[in-house]
Amino acid sequence: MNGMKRIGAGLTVAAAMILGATPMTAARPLDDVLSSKKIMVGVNPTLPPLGLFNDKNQIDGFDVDIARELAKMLGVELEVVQVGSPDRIPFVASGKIDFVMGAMTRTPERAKVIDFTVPVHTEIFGVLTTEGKPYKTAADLNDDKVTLVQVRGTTPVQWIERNAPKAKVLLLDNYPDVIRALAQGRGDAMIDVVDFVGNLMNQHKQATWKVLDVPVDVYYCSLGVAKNSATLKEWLNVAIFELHRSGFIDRTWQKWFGVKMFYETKWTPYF
Amino acid sequence: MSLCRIVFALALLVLAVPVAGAASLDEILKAGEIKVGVNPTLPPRTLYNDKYEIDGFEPEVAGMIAKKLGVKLTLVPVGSPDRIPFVATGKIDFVMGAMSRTAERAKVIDYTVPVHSENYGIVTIAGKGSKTLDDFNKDTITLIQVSGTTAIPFIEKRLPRAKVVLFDNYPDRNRALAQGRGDASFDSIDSVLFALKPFPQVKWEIIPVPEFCITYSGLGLAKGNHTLKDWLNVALHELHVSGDIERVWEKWFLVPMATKVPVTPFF
Repeated sequence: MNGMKRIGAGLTVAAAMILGATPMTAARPLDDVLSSKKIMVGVNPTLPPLGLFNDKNQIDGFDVDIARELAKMLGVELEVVQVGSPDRIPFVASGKIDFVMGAMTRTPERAKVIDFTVPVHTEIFGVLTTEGKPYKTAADLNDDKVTLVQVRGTTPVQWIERNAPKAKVLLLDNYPDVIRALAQGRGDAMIDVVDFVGNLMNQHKQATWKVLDVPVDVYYCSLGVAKNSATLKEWLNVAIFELHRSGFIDRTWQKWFGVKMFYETKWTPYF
Repeated sequence: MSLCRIVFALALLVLAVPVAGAASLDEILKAGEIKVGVNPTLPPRTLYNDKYEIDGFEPEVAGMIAKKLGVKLTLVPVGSPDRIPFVATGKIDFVMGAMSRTAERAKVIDYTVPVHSENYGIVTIAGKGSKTLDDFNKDTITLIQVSGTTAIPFIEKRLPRAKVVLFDNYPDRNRALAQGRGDASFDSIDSVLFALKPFPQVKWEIIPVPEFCITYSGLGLAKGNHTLKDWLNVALHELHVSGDIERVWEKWFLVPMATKVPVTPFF
């Protein structure tokens, strides 16, 4: 009798373990997305032009255009869910949203809690300068004859302190001021994520802008999906490949960023 | 809770886990057999040979995969309508047969890395001097086509000046081409030399037209069967790198693959 109880207890534990092994999160598999006729996508509207509020106070931007096209391919309605930097990963991990956008760079740290699709776009941490300047790489900027124009309080300023300590640094309050200063020749270069200043560069057509071919760093940005939502991820990979091949991603990038993507995603069918 | 009820509840849980009934890699290894769906209506991908055995490019690739896995290969003939249900329900472990990877199909099945590309282009009698798509956009050119195919809207848009003669099926088109009743045909080019083998007196020229669309075909497997998919990707990578896939392709299709699969170890 005692033995029977122990077997019973053992089986209960086994049953609990099986229950535990099934996804505890509410991440929805692809079939649930299809049958509900709706996909919920997290967009961060504080990252223009990836996500922003438009004139009608609706969330819009590159990310929304991509999400809308994916929803169209799935044949479901798109629901854009506003997310911020602290809550976006918990939202996707707990299944409140089906995937999250917003420059989701793949990192080993993030990959402990969410999965990633193939890359949708790149961003480069690189050097913006003008034609006629002799720099080939960021290392050439570590020189006391160089003036870097930077936004006060941003992480690139710390990077410069460590990697280009000899350069002079002119600190301004925001990106429009920095780009204007560079266009007016009040400095030689800026080191930052240069993709986001494309539209500002276009406002100063008198400057012949140049982004150095060799970036300091390249970020590959994917869609973030919940762990265990592999059926959705597999579909998204195939769909993202089609959006790369058709040129949709590059066109949408040009539309919102005002410039071509600086660094190729290097998409390939071999996945 | 009685022991019986616990056991019953446990059995339900165990049964509930593999929904589709797809065999995992471990189950295939234990069973000592892999079941592969091939479509014998798409020669030379798959066909019945002189001994009335299933043969062709896909059976040979499936054979190399089974050998790497160390299990027996069972080929299951499938048709276009049933091949996806067969793999989704686990009647077969994976399906071959020009399974171009599309977002639409990826709603119901998963795909391995590509095995081969699928290409469109122009087939014409060699030595006529026309080399580019624009050379065929002339009112002196007659294209011989099969009605209802995806090539027709492309021709209307891209080659509006060419005359078009339509046939109901490919054997009739092929005969008309060989008899010189037109100048060329724009269609899928991968198996066209195989299809034109009955006309050995004609020397053919194939001009790929990548702007139409290049698609990639992988092995199709049940959604969520990751243990099998991950193994197949590694095996296919080896078969690409060793040159086996290209060699078997040329043996059956009589030409090199028009677009090489851009093989990378980064998957």
